[in-house]
Amino acid sequence: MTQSSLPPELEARIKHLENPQNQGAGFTWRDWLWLWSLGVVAPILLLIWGWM
Amino acid sequence: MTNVIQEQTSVSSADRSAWPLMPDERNWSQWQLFIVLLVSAAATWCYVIGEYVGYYLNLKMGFAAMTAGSMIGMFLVTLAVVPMATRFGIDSVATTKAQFGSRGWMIPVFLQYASIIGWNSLLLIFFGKSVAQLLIALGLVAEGGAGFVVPLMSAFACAVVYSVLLKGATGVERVSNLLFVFIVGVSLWMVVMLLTKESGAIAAATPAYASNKLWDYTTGVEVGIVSLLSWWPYIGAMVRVAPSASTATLPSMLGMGLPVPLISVIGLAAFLALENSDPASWLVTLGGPLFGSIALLFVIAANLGTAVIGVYASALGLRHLPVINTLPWKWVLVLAIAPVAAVGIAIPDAFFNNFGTFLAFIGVMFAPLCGIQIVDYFFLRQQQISIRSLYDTSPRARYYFLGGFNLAAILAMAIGFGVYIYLLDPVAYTSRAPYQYLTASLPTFFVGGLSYWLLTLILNKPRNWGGYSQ
Repeated sequence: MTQSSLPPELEARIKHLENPQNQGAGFTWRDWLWLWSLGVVAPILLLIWGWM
Repeated sequence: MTNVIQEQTSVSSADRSAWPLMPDERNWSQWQLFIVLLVSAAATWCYVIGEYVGYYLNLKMGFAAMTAGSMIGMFLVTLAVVPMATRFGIDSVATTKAQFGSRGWMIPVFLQYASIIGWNSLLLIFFGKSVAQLLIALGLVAEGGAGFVVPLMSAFACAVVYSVLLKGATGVERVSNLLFVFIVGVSLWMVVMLLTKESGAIAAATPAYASNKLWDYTTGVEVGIVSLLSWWPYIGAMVRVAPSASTATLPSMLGMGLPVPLISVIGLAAFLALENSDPASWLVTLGGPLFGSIALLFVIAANLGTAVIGVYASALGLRHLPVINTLPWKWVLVLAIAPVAAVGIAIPDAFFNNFGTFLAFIGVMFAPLCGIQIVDYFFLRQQQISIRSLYDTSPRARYYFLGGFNLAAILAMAIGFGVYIYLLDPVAYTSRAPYQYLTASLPTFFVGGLSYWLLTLILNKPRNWGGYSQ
């Protein structure tokens, strides 16, 4: 990788974000709980209710 | 290093570029993101979705099917885009570079550009038609003499969108804050109006095309899923301003996922009771020109907010093209808005009558795209993405694959598209088994993702393409 091929600002941003501490955190267990509850469990319950 | 960023951003603001946002630039709170995503999701197309479902399902089944489908669709889009977008502050298109290659990402750019232009054109034409209807209802324009209104209103709306977006994400934030209360308030008012005045008619209504209960119910779910998958082009540009995936999870699921079925149910109820889902029309029936005027203001607010966010997202997507990356922001906006303006001014009726077919086919591409992204990020790469490689276009780059294109992704998209078309004709809505049990979008999502996994093992890993072993 030739770092000089990138514009200086982009190069600086990438260098900063290559440090994991400067990256946004991923999903926590609480997020996964919300995601599965709202995206899978709730739709299944809704579909059962709607069908009855 | 920080100085370089500060000096440069004063010239080219980061929120107007496709470059990753720094942690201190990702400052939207959960509530702010919720507002922006809700304003983005609330638009006239919700009434069309509700009307379509109203042909097959009653209120209870329609509400359940649309809401379930919408939440499933939003779940898939959230998993596909949010982790990468919030991790590095990048938009939807940038998140595809690890899957499609350092040149192949142009395929998602095309999907995004075409989809947003199409939807925005439809929104602005809806907007123009609503204004024309109101002018006729108020007696200001004669029936048949409102042909000039749609082009005029389209041009006006494009000018407003352009001026708002000159301020980039700040413009999006401001316009969303302005529209949020009005959109939510009028939506609730419409629900009250319908329930108090037409509850009997809604309860007694029989869907016109209801025939097979299972097929009808599945189709309601399918409409919900495919509608929400169409948020893929929009969501990255918004969630990248959030500091983490946690900040974006609930706004994404509740702010972007839930408004579509909730507003669609207004269209569904209105269609069942009054055989008309357009609030600018049925509110005139219920309460005269004053109510029609309120509905018109709602249509203006809802469609304007969505158009602003859509144009912003497509402008960011265009920024990835090298020739556009160096253009001033105002010219990028022109490129994003000009096709919408051209359609709205020159060929609104021809577009309105025919372009739905193209949009239907574009829409089905987002199911395999989400499958590919989820499989790649969570399973094949174990969440290991090189931010440098996303912007490195040299032949030595990790995501260069073969000539800059990942054949596995392209083939998986084609396979997924084939599966969808086999199961369901997205225009005529004729289907083949096992559509009635599985929908079309879910098998497309799974087959697209699975194909990508297998093709990566067969094509890429043995040749060390794509940086999977690093």
